[in-house]
Amino acid sequence: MALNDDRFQEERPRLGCGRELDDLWASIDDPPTAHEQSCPDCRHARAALHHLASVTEAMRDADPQDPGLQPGDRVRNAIMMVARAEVRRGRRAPLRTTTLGTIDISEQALTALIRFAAGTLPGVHARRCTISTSGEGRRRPIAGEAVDVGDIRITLKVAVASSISIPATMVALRERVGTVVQAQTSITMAQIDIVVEDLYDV
Amino acid sequence: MSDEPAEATVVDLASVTRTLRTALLELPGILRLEPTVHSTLTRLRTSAVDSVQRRLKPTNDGPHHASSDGLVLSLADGLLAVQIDIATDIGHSALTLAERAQTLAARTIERSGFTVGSVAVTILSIESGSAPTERTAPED
Repeated sequence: MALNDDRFQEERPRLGCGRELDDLWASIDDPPTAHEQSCPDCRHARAALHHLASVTEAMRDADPQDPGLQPGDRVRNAIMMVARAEVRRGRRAPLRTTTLGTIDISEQALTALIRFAAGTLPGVHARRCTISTSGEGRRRPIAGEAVDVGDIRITLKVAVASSISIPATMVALRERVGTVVQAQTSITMAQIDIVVEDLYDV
Repeated sequence: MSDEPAEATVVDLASVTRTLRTALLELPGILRLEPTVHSTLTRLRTSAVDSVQRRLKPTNDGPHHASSDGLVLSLADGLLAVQIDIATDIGHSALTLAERAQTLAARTIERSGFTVGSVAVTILSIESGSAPTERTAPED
């Protein structure tokens, strides 16, 4: 490593007066020192570096409009696909903080888990599931806001078979959803509201 | 016999990312590492900056960020921070899997000669069992 550093030091360009060009560049925004005012090498180098900076800035300003520097359709579409998926994942809920770091779960993963749990019960078809918290009138937290896992309330809409006993099935459904979510995430839900919005014939 | 003291081998971040990715995907219950906007843009940016740096300063240290789908590694002040985004199989406890992923990542990082800063895991998806598949973000 030391050898590399020595070689790098030797390769660093120097001006005719012996000064390293990098040192001059480091203070290019400061007023010229007494040496830089009197030394023709430093004066010339400062002028050249100022010119280089202005040219670079002009090129950088032009880059956003340069068609040759725009991402291709394939890259753009793929990025947008990832971005749309990220929007669908919704907010994050912190599950646990270990000695190594945090563990979060996305709102989409949680609702998918709830729908899956509901769907394992015979005669129940899970539909829309929403997550809210009790604060400020059971509002849905806005995007980017962390969900308080100690206060998760869900509303699950289902369609049920016309042949089943709805009250008994709803008790079993609450228990099933609560158990599966607890086992998968350690979240104990504060409230599980179920809306039977449709009946279907078996 | 050399008088030089033995030193831990430190490999580059891209190698650690590849090793970590392979190790995580072998963990039973992890279906995928999910690409995010963060991991995708970090990969594109790292690739572009690395390419420029290699041309301008061949002796420069390697990049301080590395990324692949669902993985972002950032090196700062000698500590390596990792963000892992996973899709898990519903047949396994998602939380337990996330903790295993943290431990595995920390072990992999230490074996590579880096010091672990933090390992954050986000469970982005829980799905009913299927064979592990790769969902790929754009190539740069």
